[in-house]
Amino acid sequence: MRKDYIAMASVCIILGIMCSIQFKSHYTNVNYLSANQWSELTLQKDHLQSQHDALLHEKASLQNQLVSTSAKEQDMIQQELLDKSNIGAGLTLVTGTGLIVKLDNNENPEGFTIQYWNLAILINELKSAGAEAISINGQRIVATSAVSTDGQTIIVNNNSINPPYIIQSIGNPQILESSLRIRGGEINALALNGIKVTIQTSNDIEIPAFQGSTKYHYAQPLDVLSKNI
Amino acid sequence: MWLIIVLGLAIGVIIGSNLPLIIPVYFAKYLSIAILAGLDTIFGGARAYLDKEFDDLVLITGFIFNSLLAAGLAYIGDQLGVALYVAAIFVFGVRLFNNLAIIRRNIIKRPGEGYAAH
Repeated sequence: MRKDYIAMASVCIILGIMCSIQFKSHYTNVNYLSANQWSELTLQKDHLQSQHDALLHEKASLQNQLVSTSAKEQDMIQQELLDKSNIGAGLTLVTGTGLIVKLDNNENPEGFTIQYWNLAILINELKSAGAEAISINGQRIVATSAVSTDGQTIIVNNNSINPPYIIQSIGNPQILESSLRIRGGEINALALNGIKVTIQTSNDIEIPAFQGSTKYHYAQPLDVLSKNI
Repeated sequence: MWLIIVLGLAIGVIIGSNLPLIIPVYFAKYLSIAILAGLDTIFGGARAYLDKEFDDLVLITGFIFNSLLAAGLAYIGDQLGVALYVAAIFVFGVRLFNNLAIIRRNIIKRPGEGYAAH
């Protein structure tokens, strides 16, 4: 009888061990899935993954489209603004239809000679006739350009120039010429004083860029929108 | 006998919980079916004891054999793709309930052995 008890006891002990091992394993592995769940969820996961990848692709390509169009448009707008600014600022070589005015002093040294104010008035007349770019003897006339003299020679853009003075301007050639030739205009006065004047229209005028310094020490751009009103 | 069964199980659980032994997750199914087989064997042994038919060798061999058979059946079933472990559950479950019923009847009958047996 004693061996019966031993047998029963040993079997029970073994079963107890198995139970506790199973229990422990189950609770540490409780995050794991059964085989069915696992295969099903793996399939689902692959399906969703491929969907996700496809959507990412689409999103990337749409974004590219968006960026490229707006960048292009932006570029165009910026470029237009830049071109306009450059022409106005005189920082680039420009070409177009316009007028070439050539002034030369009389052979008589005692007679009337071209003075700086003559050139200044001419420039003014050209501007009021719609000239978009003006140069005198290769000196681009910009907003800060001044025509002055040191007593002997005329100075434009801090460069001295000598006659003959060749004034190029880009604009409507007919309007420019007729404006200059107005009776009482500067050309008229110069001609009356014996200055040799030649006016010639052209379809292909090239006016060089402003060569001087573009450093501004006093003026600063002001963002009107950000200023508190 | 009951004391031995309960004590044995308790001692086994204590020993097992202190053993640093964890079964990989894919063995868990086989171990659980083996536990079912072992449980059935133990209750069969208890019934045999109450019926005065207890044979220790039958118990031990039955325990080992049934457990291995059950786990093996479940494993083969997984390999074949057929849920053969259900057969083991079915059989051992039926036997378990049968044994428990006989034990219950034996316990109820025993105190009343003085009365006329039917």
